[in-house]
Amino acid sequence: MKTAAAFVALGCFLMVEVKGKIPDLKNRCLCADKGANNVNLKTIEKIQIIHPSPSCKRLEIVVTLMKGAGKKCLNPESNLGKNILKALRKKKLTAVRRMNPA
Amino acid sequence: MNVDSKTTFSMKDFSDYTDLYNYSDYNDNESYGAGAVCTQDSSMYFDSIFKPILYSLAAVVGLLGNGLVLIVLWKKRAGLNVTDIFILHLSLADILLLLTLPFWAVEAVKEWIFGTPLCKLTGAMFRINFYCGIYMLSCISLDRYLSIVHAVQMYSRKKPMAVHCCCMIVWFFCFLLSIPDWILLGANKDSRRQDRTECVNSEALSDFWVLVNRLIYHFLGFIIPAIMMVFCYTSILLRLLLGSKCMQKKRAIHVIVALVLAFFISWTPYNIALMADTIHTNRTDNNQTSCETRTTLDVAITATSTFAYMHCCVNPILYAFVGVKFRQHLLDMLRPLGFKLKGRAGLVSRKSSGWSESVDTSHTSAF
Repeated sequence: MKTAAAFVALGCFLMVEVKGKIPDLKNRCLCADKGANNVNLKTIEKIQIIHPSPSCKRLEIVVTLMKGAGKKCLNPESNLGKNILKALRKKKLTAVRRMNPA
Repeated sequence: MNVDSKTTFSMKDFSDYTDLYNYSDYNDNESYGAGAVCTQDSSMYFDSIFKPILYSLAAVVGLLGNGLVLIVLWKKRAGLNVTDIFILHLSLADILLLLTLPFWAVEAVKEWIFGTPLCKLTGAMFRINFYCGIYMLSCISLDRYLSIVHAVQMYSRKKPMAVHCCCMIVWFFCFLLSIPDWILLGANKDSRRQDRTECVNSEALSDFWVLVNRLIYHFLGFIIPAIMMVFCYTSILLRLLLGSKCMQKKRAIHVIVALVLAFFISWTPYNIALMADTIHTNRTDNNQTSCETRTTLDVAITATSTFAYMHCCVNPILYAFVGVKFRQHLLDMLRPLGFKLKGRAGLVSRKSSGWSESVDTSHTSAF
């Protein structure tokens, strides 16, 4: 009787564990927050679009500022962010069209 | 593998897009100072130095200890008792876990150079044996509790297959736990980690799923086994304290305290580090967080997890070599090998005699 109870207890203890995954799994986006809503365009040297990758689910926009002023995250949901993404999409389409005419 | 995972443009590319300037909040300075970029460079640098050193140390020490346990058990395979069988499976789990550590060390130094199939295999092996080791410890505590406190022999000594079957069930459930790894893991390039190929999920989970994941781990990998061990060993301790206080019991008590302490010393820091990270991530989701805090947490998670894997190296001493019979077998085995080894074996027994000289006696047969 006690043996059976022990087996049942062990069974129940094991049944609950069927889920679970990588314990130290973590999200590490480049941007510490949502990002700045605007950056003075005249000070931007470079814009990087960083697509979702294994360590971050979000799409991020990182701008490199001129004169070694460092990098900054731009909020992709801000108006400037949206406009940049829209402009890039247009640009890509044009490039694709140019590569495959007709 | 995402080909255009990172696209770079210089401002010249935008010269003909005047609509870029066409936004309303151009002069809005409210978010000045926001938008800090946190790279993972420093924590990756820490990993690349810390992991190879500590992982190889753990692998060498752990494989030696657990290998020795397996050899001794193989020599006395005819007369294995219940605890011996659990220790056999515990050592197997520890060895398989330790065998994956060199792969992670290479990944930390260079990148994942072994391809997707090996990534799935190594990742799943890691997960299976990570949980299996902890559950074997719980099984040992449960078996000792039942046989000492309730005097129930859970399994007849004549039927070791029943114990093996019980262990196989544990292995099977740990295998089920690893199914997501078989599906999701792969050699993936990460543009946020210096474009390195790593053995990870191809896509990041949302914060919510990371939280669910962590909670599952905290409960199934730490809290439940810990409660079980504390309950079982406290009951055993109370039972031992009630009776006469002979030397043997005193030593059994010392061993139990050492077992429980070792478990908590190895696993508590890792769990605290993970909880701190969870709290930090969720509390500061929309506000600015400092990159330093994040790096500190990453370093803490790596350091404490390594500390936790070290538990695999301590298990052979705490569970196997603490027993007199076990040491006797080891000595018998080493004797024909000559003088040098004899001296070393003597040292081993003297060292561990501090733990318990005669814990595995008739009335505490489980030890």
